[in-house]
Amino acid sequence: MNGGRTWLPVALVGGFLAIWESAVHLFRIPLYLLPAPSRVVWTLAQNLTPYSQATLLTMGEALAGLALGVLTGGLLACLLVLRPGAENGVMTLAILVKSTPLVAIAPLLTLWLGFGVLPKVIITALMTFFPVLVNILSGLQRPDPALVDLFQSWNASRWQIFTKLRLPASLPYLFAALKISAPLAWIGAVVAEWTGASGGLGRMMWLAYTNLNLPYMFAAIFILSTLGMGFYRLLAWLESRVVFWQPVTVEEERV
Amino acid sequence: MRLEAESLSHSYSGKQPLEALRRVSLSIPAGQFVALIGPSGCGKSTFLRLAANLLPVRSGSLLLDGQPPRAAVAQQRVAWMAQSPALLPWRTVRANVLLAGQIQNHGSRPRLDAEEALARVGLSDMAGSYPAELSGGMQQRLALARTLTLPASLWLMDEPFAALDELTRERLAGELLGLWQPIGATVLWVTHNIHEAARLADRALVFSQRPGSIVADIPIPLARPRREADPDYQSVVTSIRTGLGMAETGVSS
Repeated sequence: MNGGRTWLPVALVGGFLAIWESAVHLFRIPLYLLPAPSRVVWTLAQNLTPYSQATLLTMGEALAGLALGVLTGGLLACLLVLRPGAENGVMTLAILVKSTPLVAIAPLLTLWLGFGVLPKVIITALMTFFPVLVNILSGLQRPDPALVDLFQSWNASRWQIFTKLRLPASLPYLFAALKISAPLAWIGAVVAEWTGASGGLGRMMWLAYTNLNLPYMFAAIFILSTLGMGFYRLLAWLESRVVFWQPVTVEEERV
Repeated sequence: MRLEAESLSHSYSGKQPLEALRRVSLSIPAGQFVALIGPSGCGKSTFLRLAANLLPVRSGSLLLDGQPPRAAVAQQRVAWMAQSPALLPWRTVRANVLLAGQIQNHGSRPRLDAEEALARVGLSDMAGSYPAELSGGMQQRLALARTLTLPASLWLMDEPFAALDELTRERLAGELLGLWQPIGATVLWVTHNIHEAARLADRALVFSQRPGSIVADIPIPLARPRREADPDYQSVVTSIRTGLGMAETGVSS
């Protein structure tokens, strides 16, 4: 790990927080408009138990939804590759789901399924499944043609080509999809909670918002962005382990 | 394996259909090392792909020991090697060599087991490495080791060493000859390098420009290893070069 590369992001975030902090004090910005970072952290420290409970709940919803989305998208992609021909129909349906604003569906799902965890998981799954489907599908469809020739010259069956070539070759695409879908999972879970929930960070934010309790709201935002970034880092690390043969891309180096 | 083509033609369909081969007839006895040489895009690779059943034979006939290519491939009698070493980057060197056997389920029939094949190409020390850790020449050696494990009696080789530098290419070609001679498989070797054809092959088939047909069939009855200074070698080079000249003028006339 390059020392400069770890130092720089910390300095940037620190600088940003410092400017924010001093601006709030300098311009005497009222608390109901923008709380200083120190106030947000203090609020967080004072309410550690409710925040950790809410975080666990939201994280559970986001991860369950992501898992469901990845599973559905991945299986559908496999199906389309093993049984070509259905692609047009399935993709039209998938694009329809993708283009429907989920913010509009979320209240409906809450109405039908209640304030529990299920509608949040479904919304998150709906949000995350499309990038997974599209990415894995292109990964499965585009192995190196020279390798396909080779497998065919060995008289390999469609299934052998799928398991020994297409599936492993699509792993880098799976990680690309996860890196797009993971942030979407957080958004999905929080947005779904906003539309009605009995707990979770989204619910806390909504309550804080209606009371104009901005330190409370910002504390939830802090948690969300930290978790989102941590999760992304975890994925990037996992990717370098699992897809070890893939050269590090420029995009990853920037993270 | 014996190979016989009779009026073999092939066109690629598409918006602008492309005639790649026109009425190619030839007969290659078992165990012969044949170089297919000609200008780029002359259909020599198409011929090879037809033999490997990577393209369907639609016009004319192509028989491998009296069978269509599909049957010969199904019986695992054909080996394919191309310019790209076509290695799986997530498998170790050893696992790459073993792959063919896992697909074809050789059981007790591999010509060489993986360790022996790797030893023959001098990669035993690298068995646990990944392809990305190998040089271009080593990657092609690995592809060659994989080919050596196949029970095939026809080797279809589409410019396998063309992407390598001249020196590595010559060395690998020499090694290949040494490995091929005891096995005695029939080899179809696509190249556009006159010296490569003259050094390796028992016979050179010169293809015309597209649509490809055979304009010269040149026997190379020289003992191996061949020396460039040998006048007989030089006359073979001259005949191939003359054949290639005919290939060029064949189109302009």
